[in-house]
Amino acid sequence: MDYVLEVKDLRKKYQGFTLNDVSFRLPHGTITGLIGPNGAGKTTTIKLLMNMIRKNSGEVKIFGLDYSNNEKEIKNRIGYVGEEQYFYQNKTIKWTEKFVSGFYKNWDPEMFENLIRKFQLPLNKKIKKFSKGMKVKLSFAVALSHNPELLILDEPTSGLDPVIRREILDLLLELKQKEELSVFLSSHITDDLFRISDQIAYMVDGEIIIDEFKDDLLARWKKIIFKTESLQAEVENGLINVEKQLFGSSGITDRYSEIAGSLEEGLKKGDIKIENVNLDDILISLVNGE
Amino acid sequence: MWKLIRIQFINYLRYIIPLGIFLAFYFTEFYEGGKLPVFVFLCFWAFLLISGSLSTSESYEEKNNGYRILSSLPITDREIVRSKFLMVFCAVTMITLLNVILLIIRLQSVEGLGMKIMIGILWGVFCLHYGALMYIGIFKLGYTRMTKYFWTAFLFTIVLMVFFVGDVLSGLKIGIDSLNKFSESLLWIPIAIAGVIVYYFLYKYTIRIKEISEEV
Repeated sequence: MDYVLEVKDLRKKYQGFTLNDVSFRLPHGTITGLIGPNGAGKTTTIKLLMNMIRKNSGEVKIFGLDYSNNEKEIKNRIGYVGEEQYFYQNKTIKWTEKFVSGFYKNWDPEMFENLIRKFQLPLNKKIKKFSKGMKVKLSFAVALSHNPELLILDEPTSGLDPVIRREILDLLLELKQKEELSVFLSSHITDDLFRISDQIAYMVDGEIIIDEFKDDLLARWKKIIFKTESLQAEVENGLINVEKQLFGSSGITDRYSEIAGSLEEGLKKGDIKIENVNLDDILISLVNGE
Repeated sequence: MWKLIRIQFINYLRYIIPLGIFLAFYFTEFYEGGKLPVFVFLCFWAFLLISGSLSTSESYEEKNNGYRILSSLPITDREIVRSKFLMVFCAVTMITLLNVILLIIRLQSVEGLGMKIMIGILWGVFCLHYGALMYIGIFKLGYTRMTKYFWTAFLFTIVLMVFFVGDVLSGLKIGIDSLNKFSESLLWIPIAIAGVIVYYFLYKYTIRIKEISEEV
């Protein structure tokens, strides 16, 4: 498999927090969602990917290159939207385009103009008068107008109202159709990630505890609803988040493919029911199962 | 990098345009009366240009998180530092050259000329170092924190100079005659060249500071 981003044993130490030997890979043409609670280390990871802060150790390779001698080339091929949108506040979009375009080799003014039109952003209004949503849209326009091969997005939908959030997610889904574009995005909004990601990485306390394709994750994690004594003791003891229900109990397993055979009889009798889980169920189970 | 240089050049231009107006005014109104030597004015101006344009542009960058904007763009820390140092160097060199040329053009007598040229050039080197130290502070601490420490140290140095340098110079018996002899010996030329070399090393050091610094 071809990887656009490879991170190996990445470490960053702050007082009271350590990003602890994080490793993951982003396959070409996929969307990877980095999820985790606030303070888990998502923004630190993304800033390290952008070379905005200095790592203590480890390796970051983007397009097979590292930052030490290839920063310009890497950043020419990356589009970035940060958690906060930084622009020169008393300037207009026109000025911003003129300023930013000078740094990129492949700046496409037509694409920028189209995106600005699509987002209905005013060209001559000062950016300090923009709402948060308008600034996010402008960030996307800047990030996409130099035909990036990799988009790095840090909580792009956080703090936005539902309408604009939906617009941004639709844009990401639209981008998903472009096979040459890979996306790495962080969020703590699981619904957003679940809708658009191919691969999910889950980070807690500076460590990645899940890094898997969404389909594999969903195939492995299932909710089992069962009548009392219809499950083998071994299977029942292995369930996470077991809850008593009106007609029996329910629990979540992360080993569905391994135990599927032992559930067949119960399924036939109607004593056992299997349901798909969502990302929230998995994350809560992981936290409770620790 | 050229993009950054162009933006900074515009910033410097704000200071250079009033300089031109002042010089035009100066030559028509004041010079004939000899009230203020243009040499002193230009030395003062070089310092003001570096100090003023650097302060306005850096406080503007800090207010707008300019370095965070740059850190997401395809430009290296090395290029950012290079563009800043190059502009300081060009501005100081231009003013110092202007000063020397004007001194020669308006020359009434040879007396004291060598000393003035020497002081003008050494002052230029001082302005270069001043700019470099400002940038080291900015990239290490950020503009606001830098100014807090830098200006305190700077004012303290000025006060020390005002109160003690005169005494020290008279104690060492360094008067106008000694300065004249020093300027005639041309020993100040290697000192000035060494000053420019030190500026180059300060530039190299600033790159290192910028490269290991977290976001400014």
